[in-house]
Amino acid sequence: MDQTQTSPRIAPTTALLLALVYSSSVALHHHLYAPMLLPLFMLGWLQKKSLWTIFKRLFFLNTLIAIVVVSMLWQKEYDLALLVFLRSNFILLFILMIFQGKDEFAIAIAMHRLHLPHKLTSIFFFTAKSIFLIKREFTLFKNTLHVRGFTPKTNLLTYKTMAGFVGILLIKALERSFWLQKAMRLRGFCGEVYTLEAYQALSIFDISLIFITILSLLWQQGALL
Amino acid sequence: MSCSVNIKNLSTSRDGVCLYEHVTLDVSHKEKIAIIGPNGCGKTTLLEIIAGLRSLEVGSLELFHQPMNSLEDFKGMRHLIGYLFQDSDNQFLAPVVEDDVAFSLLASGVSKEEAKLKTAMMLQDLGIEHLAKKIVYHLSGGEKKLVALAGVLIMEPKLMLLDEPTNGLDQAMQLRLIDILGRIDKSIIIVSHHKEFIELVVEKIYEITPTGLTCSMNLKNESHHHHDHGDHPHSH
Repeated sequence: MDQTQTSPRIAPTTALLLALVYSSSVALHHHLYAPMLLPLFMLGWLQKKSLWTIFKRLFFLNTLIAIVVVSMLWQKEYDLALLVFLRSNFILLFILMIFQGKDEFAIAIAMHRLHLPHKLTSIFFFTAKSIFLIKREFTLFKNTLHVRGFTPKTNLLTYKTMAGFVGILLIKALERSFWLQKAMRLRGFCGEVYTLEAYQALSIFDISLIFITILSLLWQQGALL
Repeated sequence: MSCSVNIKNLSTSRDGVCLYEHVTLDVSHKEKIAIIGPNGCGKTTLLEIIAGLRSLEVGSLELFHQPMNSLEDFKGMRHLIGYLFQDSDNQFLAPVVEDDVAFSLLASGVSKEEAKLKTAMMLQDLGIEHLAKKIVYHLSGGEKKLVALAGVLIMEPKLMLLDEPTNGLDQAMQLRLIDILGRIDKSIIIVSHHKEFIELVVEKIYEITPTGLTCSMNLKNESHHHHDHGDHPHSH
């Protein structure tokens, strides 16, 4: 099995491609149709073990959507508020489920395999790498604070510590960027991150999901809104 | 014997403070040496100067008999110099192991088929072929080090610069690294604090001090062959 796939069922290339197709179609369609729920049901079945995590994430993301929806309700745009709420949640749920178990590097690999522009792929990968390394520094710092008996409170020490923490992260990020530049010079980087694997065979799950997603977007029956 | 590295009267400073002066060093073809010294004495800085990552302030540097007067002079020499960073995470330029190992080959214009073949052989040679499809950041510290080393070795450099190669490695991985480095037939400069490790890999150990570089141990002279003791080198 391809080890770059952290989720065993849907390949990163399929995930990226379908996420783009589904989200842009749902966002641009005049109406929402019942068949648009089909890929969500299939993904829900594929990710049934992680549904709790996915819905927890969706709930937190909905706090942002709630602000938009409430502002529309305030203006008595009830239909629009419902449409925005449903559209956003369809797209978010699809993306959360399809990328569940895949990390930022899987997306970078998918970009490679889809032959997206080299610069875009390189920038995405180096950004993903930086976020991964900064995330690690963040965890290390958090653990250090725990080990040294620090409890966050609303006092000057906490604010100073947090400010110092942000400063350290910035310095570390800068240091990492210098090292990246050194690695690029030493290893002959010329604007492209290469891949030896040209394509990846599609599994039965990939093919089924592609079929269901396309069908759901073309089958404009049973308008929800 | 031809010389891979020839440094004369090198002086380096950091933030206006002199790290060392009058450093002179000759590394012969296929010679393996180590540089030791206290923290912050400028060991990594010296490696960076030799690798062309940092400009020379005072003194002269020749690589393979070519004077390196500016960083531009290193451009045509990059493929001859392999540098293993202290933190392997800094070294990776591709997300998947086989892509990262093949990176320098593909960047230098080698065809994908040839790069794939050479990468598979390199991974097999280092005993990490099972990692080929894995994401580099999901590996253990030791595995990352071997992948980074494979990425360096695949270019078949004539000179290898290793910065603290045993950092974060367990005993088993250190022994594996000793075995690999023992098999490599190239000029190697190792910067390390790990004395037991370098004594098993190099021929000479230099100590870096503010007044220069002194050869603190010549293992080549200390261990030699006696016919009546068999073929194994030993020390007195």
